[in-house]
Amino acid sequence: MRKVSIDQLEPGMVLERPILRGSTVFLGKGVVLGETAISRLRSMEIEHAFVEGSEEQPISCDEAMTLLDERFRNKEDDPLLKHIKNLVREHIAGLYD
Amino acid sequence: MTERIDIRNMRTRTEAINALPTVPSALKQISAMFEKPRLSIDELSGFISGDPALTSKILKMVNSAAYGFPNRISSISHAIMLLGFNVVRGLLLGVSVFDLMQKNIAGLWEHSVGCAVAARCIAQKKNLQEPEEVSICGLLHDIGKVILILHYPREYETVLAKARDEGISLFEAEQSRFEATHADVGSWLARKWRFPVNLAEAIEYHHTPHLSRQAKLETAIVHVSDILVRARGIGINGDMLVPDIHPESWTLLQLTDDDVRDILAELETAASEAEDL
Repeated sequence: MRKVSIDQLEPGMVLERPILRGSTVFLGKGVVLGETAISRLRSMEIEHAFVEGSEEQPISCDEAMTLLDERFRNKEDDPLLKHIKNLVREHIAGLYD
Repeated sequence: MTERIDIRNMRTRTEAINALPTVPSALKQISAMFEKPRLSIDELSGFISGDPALTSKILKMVNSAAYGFPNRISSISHAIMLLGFNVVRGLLLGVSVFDLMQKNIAGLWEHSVGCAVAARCIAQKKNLQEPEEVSICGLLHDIGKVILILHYPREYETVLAKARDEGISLFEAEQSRFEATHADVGSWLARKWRFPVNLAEAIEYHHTPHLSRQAKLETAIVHVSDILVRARGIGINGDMLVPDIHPESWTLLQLTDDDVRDILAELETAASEAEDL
């Protein structure tokens, strides 16, 4: 799932979450956006939509790994936390594939 | 060296939340309502429905990935029916402190929503009856931080600075300045507001889960959720560091590596949604 601002929507993108107007569904999950739908969305008071695809990461993979090490500093001796850290590292690496 | 702040004084002050000028009036009204010995479903639902902004925030929350009923809940009474009285009460409190969290500790709201998501995910994996209630424990576990800031703004600034400068956890920094921590303060209020005991204990013992007596499982879930959310670096709740893990909690939950991968994947979705809630 990827969060994009309404200005960046392009025809062909597929909604991963429905767009609501009040409590009713305006466009459902799975809808392929066309020009008309996009221009109507732009006239509504909505800032973002969630579409298919992977989220663009705000920082590089190397930076993300450095931050991970910082969060786990002084915890290298704990085998359990080390294990969790490895799972998180794999998870983060997967976000950049 | 300044004097440590006494625990009795803290408890009295915390519980007198309605008298505090810095507490927004909406939160005071909610606090007064929660203190009533018998709060009916109609009263709760009427209170929320009378405020369109609150209603829409709560409906957004229950229809988000954090609660797993995407776009199926259209009214407050429907939410109470599906999720339960205490869950909606907890959500009301959560969304009401949202602004305070945003204003005072950057990232605390994202961290809280992350914990709500992780806690619900673990509760479902463990086949708990009420995963949404456990999720509320995650959402509100750090509420004591907001309350401490409101009551002791100057002192809490020094605590935040100390945690930052010395690279210690906020929990440790609080212990050096106060006789009680955000965990105690949060649980005092949870009890005063008549929240269920599992919520009060999960808040009270989320850093010391081995001390919980009546809600070991929920407390372990919040403890582990807190660690996973920080490990992933979602939101910052006053300090960046991953806290110590209590092996008993981990053993109690018996999470497999695949379980942890699932939780991390759910967190990814929820993190991008949290900004919109």
